[in-house]
Amino acid sequence: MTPDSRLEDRLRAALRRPDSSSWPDEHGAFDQFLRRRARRGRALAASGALAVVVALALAAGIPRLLPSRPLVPTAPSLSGRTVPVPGGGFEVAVPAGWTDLFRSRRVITPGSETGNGIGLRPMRRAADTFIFVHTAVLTPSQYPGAEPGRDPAPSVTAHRATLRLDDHTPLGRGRRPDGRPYVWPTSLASNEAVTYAIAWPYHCTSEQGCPAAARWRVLLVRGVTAEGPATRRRVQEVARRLADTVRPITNALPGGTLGSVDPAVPPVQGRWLLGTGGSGRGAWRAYVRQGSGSEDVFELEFPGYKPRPGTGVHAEDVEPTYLFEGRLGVLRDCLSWLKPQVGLVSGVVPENVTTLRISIAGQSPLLVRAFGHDQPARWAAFVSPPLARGTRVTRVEALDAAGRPVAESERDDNLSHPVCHVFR
Amino acid sequence: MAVDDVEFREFFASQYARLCWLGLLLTGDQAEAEELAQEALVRTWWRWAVHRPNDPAAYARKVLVNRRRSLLRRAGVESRFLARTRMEPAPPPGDEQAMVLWQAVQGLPSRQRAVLVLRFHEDLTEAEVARLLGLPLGTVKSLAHRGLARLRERLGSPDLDPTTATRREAR
Repeated sequence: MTPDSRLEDRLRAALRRPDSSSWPDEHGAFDQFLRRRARRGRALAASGALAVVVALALAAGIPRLLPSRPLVPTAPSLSGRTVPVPGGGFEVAVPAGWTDLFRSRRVITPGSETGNGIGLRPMRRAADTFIFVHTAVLTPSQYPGAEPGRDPAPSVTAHRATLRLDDHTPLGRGRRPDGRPYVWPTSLASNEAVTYAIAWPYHCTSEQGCPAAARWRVLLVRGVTAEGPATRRRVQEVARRLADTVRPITNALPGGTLGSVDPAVPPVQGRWLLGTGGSGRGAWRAYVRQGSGSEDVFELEFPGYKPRPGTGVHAEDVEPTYLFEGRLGVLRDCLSWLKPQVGLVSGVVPENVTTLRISIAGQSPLLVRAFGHDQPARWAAFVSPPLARGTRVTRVEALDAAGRPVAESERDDNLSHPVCHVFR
Repeated sequence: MAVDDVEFREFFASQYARLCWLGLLLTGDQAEAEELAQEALVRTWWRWAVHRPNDPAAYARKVLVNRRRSLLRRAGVESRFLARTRMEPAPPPGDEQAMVLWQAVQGLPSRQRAVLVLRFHEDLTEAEVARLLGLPLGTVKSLAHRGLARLRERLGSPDLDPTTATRREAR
């Protein structure tokens, strides 16, 4: 051990927090936190109150933004650039003075809803000021155009992806110029400037492959800001313009192409065959089936498995949030009933993945095509060709159609062990 | 659509002491550490309400470190904090060697201390420390090198003997 590493170890030990120690007055800390948070909220409210006097004077001239009336069509002020989000079935014209912050297959918001989305922020920086446009599945009783308070499909609400708007006060209701109905919560969180939930049903290619929740999809346009009333008003204006002008495309159009599957729409109940491969006793069938909550299960079935034919199944949970973050879950199987033994590397990938590059020690990389894109499941899958026992896979990369990397295996996938390695 | 308070409360409970400890390592002052931890958690809550960070704990740590940096930049705020009654941070119990080292770390210039704390307490790589502190990687390497050299130098210094040591100003 070098003197440096000894010093580093001692330093680590000296800086370590004693395991059993709690912080003095830790119990009161949360109350203090709540007070501090409330003070911050009041500070915002106070700056808002100052604006009330001016607002009252100008009230007659200012159209109401938090709507008790239908949205009025307004000429959009565009930057000339539109951003399509095919999975979410919408296309947004980026407003002048704003920029798109990210585009994501997964948007987490306070309601924990997931969906296809885009985040926008003003080019001139303002504290925590954003407009999110993303899909979600709204609880049917609140769905725009549905009879208030009536829940036509209560079973959908059991799904974790379902969103419920704050309805402590009655929801506002209206229609876009193109006739699409929308709702908005009239009670908002302190940093929330406005939220519109526009009916944006997900049109499936066939009734058979259409999950029940597809018809309850909405497009949310949410404006938030931690700034004062002037910024809040600006956010409301821009959000209203976006809600008015956002265009339906792909899966939001009847008969339109599915594009990619919207993760806001939970998978179809059932088990879907993504593809088959191999031959003889080494044949396999790849399935995805719905698991609990928002998770699905990937299954690789080996009908030729002996001594009990048809019962060899390797099933692994598929965690959507994991796979939407550029990571890749890799499964390894050893077909031990074959002579000689061979191994397979497989897994599921987001739908935009078309090819997998499997790096093997001492050999050229293998390129494997992903399959199952035509199924209503949210995933595509891949299965490597049979790999000889002892083959050492070093890395698996998922690539999109343009050859760009989308996801990569992690170091802890046990890839370092050779195929058909026996763990003792 | 409020933040899930139950989830955030659990997050708060799991992170508060940890953030206070990090704040204490960075500042050497318990009151300031609590102030930084509270501020980091309030800002994390606001961020959470808008768009939940992928790794809220890392986000809170980043807020805390940045907040500490911006406070250091403000001379007025700095002097106000210095004017406070400083509370002696509790060193790891029962370890004289650790106490000596602890005091030596507290005596380092703030940037060297921040780099060493993030490297050896938070176990971040030098690249991660560089990103977090907004410094070039080379600067972080040199601050770490100089900090360790200074610690080595000080560990041999008689004024860091716990029996004779006097409290130094941490900044």
